[in-house]
Amino acid sequence: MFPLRRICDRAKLFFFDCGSLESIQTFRGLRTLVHIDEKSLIETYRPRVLYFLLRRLRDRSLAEELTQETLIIAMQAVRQDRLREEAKLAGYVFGIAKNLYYKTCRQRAQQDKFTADSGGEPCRWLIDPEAAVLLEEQRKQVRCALDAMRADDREILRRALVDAQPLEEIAHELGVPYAAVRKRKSRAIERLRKVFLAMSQTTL
Amino acid sequence: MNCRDIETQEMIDKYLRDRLSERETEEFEQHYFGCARCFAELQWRHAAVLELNVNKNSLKALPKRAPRVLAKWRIPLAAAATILLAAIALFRFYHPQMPVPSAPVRNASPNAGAPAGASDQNAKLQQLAMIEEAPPYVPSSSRGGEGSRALERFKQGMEKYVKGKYADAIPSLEQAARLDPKHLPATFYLGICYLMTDQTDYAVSKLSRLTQSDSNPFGEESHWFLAKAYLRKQDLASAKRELNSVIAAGGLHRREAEQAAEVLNELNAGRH
Repeated sequence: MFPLRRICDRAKLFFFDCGSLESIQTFRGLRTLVHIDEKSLIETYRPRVLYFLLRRLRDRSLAEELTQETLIIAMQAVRQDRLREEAKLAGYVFGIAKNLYYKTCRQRAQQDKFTADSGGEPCRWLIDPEAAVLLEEQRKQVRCALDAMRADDREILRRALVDAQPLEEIAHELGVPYAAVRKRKSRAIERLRKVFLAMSQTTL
Repeated sequence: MNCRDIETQEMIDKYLRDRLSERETEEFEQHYFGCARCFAELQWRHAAVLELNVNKNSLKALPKRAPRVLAKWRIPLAAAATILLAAIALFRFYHPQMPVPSAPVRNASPNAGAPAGASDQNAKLQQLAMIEEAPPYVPSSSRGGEGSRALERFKQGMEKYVKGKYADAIPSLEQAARLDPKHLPATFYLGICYLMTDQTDYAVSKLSRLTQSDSNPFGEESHWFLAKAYLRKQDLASAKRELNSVIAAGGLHRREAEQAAEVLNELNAGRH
């Protein structure tokens, strides 16, 4: 059995070295090149690219358009085997998205208009209506988790996360010891995180 | 930049509030392109802020703490309460035949027939084994794509679970866990259902599977509820072992686990 197996392995390497398409597809595991599934590429990177671009551009249609373009360029690179390591895919996709963003800014010659920190309102992105639409799915999950939470815990979370109020101030205003506020905030955040992790387990 | 830096430096919060420098912003963005965990964290934190902001008017303001008019009476009142408790304890000590009113214990193991000498220990164990609230579950809305059969069964089971119908949820969750043994939520909530319906041995069997690896999201909670299950079985050594795992994990139940471990130590000392 053993020599036969070795002969088969050598045959695989031979075909691989010949570079025929079938051999590459069949024996891609033997190569240093990685095979990246296009579907998973889109599923993984589309939300990240869209979030990144929308945060910078604050224009949904433009962000969608550039996201499409980014993914098309990335897929073409994968198809042409221009990407040698899977680990570099994230950086590669990020690079494309970033370059497209800067290119768009240059083309419109209004770079200042698009930079995130030029809006005047420092936390605008945090409560941006576009972000609210983009994260609709996550908001539904948060809503359910918040409904299951005590009203005073929600209030502590709101003050800490939305108003960015220091915990000492929250404790003073609510008349609750500082340690209790800190503990309740971290417990509430931990609970939200767990709900999300559980949900990502169920939906994957 | 790595996940630890991001957590310790509160980068996500700063990113959301545009408080990072351009270089830091770019580094963080590059990181979350390659890190599913940090991107998920970013998304849910942002969603939480949006949701809390939208509903801020509907959140009730908390009442201010009552003025401390009784402050000067605090010490005399505490002393009076101590004397009263001591008197009750003495009375019970000399009248052991008097029925001891016990606090209602939900889902605790039945120990009503225990001898009077062990009643204190049993009461403490019952108290420790009590489950105030089953772990919450929030049903997810579908994200497209067709669900597997295991997932469908899981959803059916969890619909009953969220209504508190733990016994009814068991068959569906059993099927889900059988169809997809790697589906951790099915195994976890199945274990909880068994625990809530006093089928402790089954609960131990299911939850033990999840404690083999702490890298799953249910690791700490599985240890915690497994400790509860062992307490119901009065297997104190195993309960102690699980509580130590919870303490070591340092998560949501750490403080409760420490308190429970202290009580267990006292009980063990009392037995010896």
